[in-house]
Amino acid sequence: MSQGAARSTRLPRWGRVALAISLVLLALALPRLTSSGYAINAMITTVRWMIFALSFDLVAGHAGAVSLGHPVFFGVGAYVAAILGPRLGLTFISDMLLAAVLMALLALLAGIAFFRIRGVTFAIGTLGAAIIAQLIANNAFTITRGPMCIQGVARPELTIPFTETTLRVAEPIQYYYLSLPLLFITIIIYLALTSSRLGRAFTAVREDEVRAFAVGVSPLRYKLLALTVGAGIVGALGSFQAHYVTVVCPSEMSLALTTTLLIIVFVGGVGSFRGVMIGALIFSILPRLLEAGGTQAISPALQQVVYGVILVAVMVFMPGGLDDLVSRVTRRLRKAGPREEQQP
Amino acid sequence: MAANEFALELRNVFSGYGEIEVLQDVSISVRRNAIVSILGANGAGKSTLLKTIFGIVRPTSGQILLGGDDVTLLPPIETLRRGVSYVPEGRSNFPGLTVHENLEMGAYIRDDRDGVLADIKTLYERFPILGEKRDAMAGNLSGGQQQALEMGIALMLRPQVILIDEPTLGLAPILVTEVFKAIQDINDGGTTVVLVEQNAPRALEISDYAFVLELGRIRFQGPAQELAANEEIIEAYLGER
Amino acid sequence: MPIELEIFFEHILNGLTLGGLYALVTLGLALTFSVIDLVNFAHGDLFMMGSYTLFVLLTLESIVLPYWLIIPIVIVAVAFYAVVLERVAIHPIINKSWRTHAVTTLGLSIILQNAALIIFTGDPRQTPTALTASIVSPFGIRISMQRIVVLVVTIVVFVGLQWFVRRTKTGKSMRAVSQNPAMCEVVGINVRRMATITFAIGGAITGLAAVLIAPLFSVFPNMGALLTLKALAAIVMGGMGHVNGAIYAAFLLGIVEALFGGYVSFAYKDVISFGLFILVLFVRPRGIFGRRVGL
Repeated sequence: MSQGAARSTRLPRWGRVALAISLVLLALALPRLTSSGYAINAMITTVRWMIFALSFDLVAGHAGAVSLGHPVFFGVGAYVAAILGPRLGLTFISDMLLAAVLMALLALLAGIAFFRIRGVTFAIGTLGAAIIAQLIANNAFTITRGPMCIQGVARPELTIPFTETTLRVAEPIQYYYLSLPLLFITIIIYLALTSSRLGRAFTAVREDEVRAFAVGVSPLRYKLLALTVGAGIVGALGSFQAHYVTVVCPSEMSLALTTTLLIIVFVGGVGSFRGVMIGALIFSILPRLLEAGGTQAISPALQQVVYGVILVAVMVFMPGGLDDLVSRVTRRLRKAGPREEQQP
Repeated sequence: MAANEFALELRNVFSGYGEIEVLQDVSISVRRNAIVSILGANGAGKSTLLKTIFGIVRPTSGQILLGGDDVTLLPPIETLRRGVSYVPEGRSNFPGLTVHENLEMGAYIRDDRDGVLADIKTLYERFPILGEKRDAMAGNLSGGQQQALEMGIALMLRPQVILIDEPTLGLAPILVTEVFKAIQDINDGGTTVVLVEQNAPRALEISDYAFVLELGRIRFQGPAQELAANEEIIEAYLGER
Repeated sequence: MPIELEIFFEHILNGLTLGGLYALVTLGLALTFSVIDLVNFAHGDLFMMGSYTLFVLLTLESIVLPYWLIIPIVIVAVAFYAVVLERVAIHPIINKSWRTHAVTTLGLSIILQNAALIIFTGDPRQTPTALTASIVSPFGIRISMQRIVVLVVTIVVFVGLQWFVRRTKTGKSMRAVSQNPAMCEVVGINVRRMATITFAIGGAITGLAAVLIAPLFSVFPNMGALLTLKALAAIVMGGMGHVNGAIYAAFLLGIVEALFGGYVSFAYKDVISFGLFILVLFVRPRGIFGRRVGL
């Protein structure tokens, strides 16, 4: 997590570019390696958690505001696609844009209100707001149909430019390729906001708001920026989710999502791109591996217990998360192993 | 043994926080029943010295002796039990507890309830203002009253040695005089005093002996009157407050 | 008495019982918060564990324990659970930031709720006692003995705790820890031991709350989550760390919920109490009663 650790494990520039290109190629090629719809669904889940967790880490990790209401933007984004979209006659893409814009606006308002509150009270307040949102979603039957859920959200239809053909998206593999651009955009935004000068400003805000203010960084503006962008991303993701599963339920903003986000981000390494990505990967794949590997399926409750134990253990023994662990291991390997990279 | 001539001794003590060594090779001897001042500029390591003696900061090497016994690596609670009280710099009381309760907390490690109450009574006689304010919240007292209370808290253990850090910081001049008078009173009662002060001239007035710290090392030491008369030292290290 | 008035009084009584529940749960949480400056998001789960302990003790097949004997057992059990949590997970992170506190205790909450789900399934359980069935009707208002006991006990515990923190040496040193932990080291108060004692007392009060109040409601694995949040809301509304204020706020929440649930909409009663909480947060971020130092 510390600057020093990040620097000591950083690859040279060409190495990073090569790594990024090969990861993108891998992401594009991955579905070709399997014909199993199950595996592709797992990939979509992974992409979804990566987007979700990166957007959450912008707020919790970089702006230091551990919001326990982040999934509200996801859920409301999904409801926007399910309720507003059809009434306004919007298509898949414009639906996602609308959800993103509305959630960014909502976040701006929420941020102005909630960022006046500091410390743990902020976490409590956002949790309260999340509970209110979920209760309303459950009880506003005429709008959300409550726990009956809104069903039959339209599957995306894409008009391919310069042709008259319309592509009806229905196959998991198509959804996977639709989700990738959202992930790439999220990654670009995340890296742009957290690297260089802006990133240092965020660190200053997180570590010590008063000092940040003293050196000319306005904590409120940075926190609002992080929250607005994070909410916009996750709103679009919610819209995507609605068009993917075609059902929207109040559970789309449940506390279980918050706890999973906390687990991914804090176990992976809060405030670290690599950590969050690793965390999202592990916690998307792990349950499926347990299911596929074991003779009997692991119950969701037991899975949650395991998650909880991992989270508490990481907080107690390894506060830097997996990212910090990776840094330490690579540093040790580099010290121990032959230093080949020094030869030209 | 001649060791008992000294209430407190530091021998070649190095100490600090983590990688940063604040005190370097500090040796100090404090005679029984003396008032000894530790003087020096800001950041010279005066507060660290008191914290190291009390056990809040652990020395990395060297020896600390209390009445000849080695107490070098003992935690604060053990230092307290051996008769050393500490009055930290700044506000060091319990603001939401009454004056009386604060004094009771000062006697926390004592089990003789009646003895504690008797000592509090004696203290009220010595500092009448504390007696008057016994049921007031400590946080509502004036700065001078709080300083008196904080010394009172330290006295509740009937210490042999009392370490006082910057007692007059931020006090009005009249109160400064009172605080120094109180320190003399404490000393007259048979308690050895180690005093860290910014106000060197006033501190030297009541002290028997003084050490001048600079960047974590002892630069000068000597009887207080000698140091007070040495214009060179006053000028170089203690001049401006 | 006209029927409208009778109904009104019944709502008020329900509100007071609910307020008593919130107050008892809040008391334990507020205590640990003000003494060691840690918000325990798993606090409500202690109530859940106490409720299931009661359920197990009531359904033992080998022996039938009388309720008066079960009460102290549950109190001690929950105090024990609280101390275990403190020793295992909370003590190691006590000097970290509030973010670490929040995430760690939320992690504990996940573990406890899902462990309960595995052991007891999600089915709601009932824990009736002899007192729930015995109805008294003073002034024509029907009320179960259990509710009267809850109200009386809440007041007794509240007054008892006041006495404890004002008059006993341990109580005074708990206040000392809450006001100036650094100074505690100087006078020899063992802050770590005080943290454990505080958790034990907080747990005992929560155990008492569970053994008395669980019989009035159903017992289920995530019953604690909402309670934690109600207690947190009460603490914030009362002015963080101001225990008395938190208790008043807990009763206020109980009464508002009962009245709103009775007259306006039962489904939205939690919305109204959390809405009230958020309103207070924005309008008076330091709580209705203002902030005071420590306990």
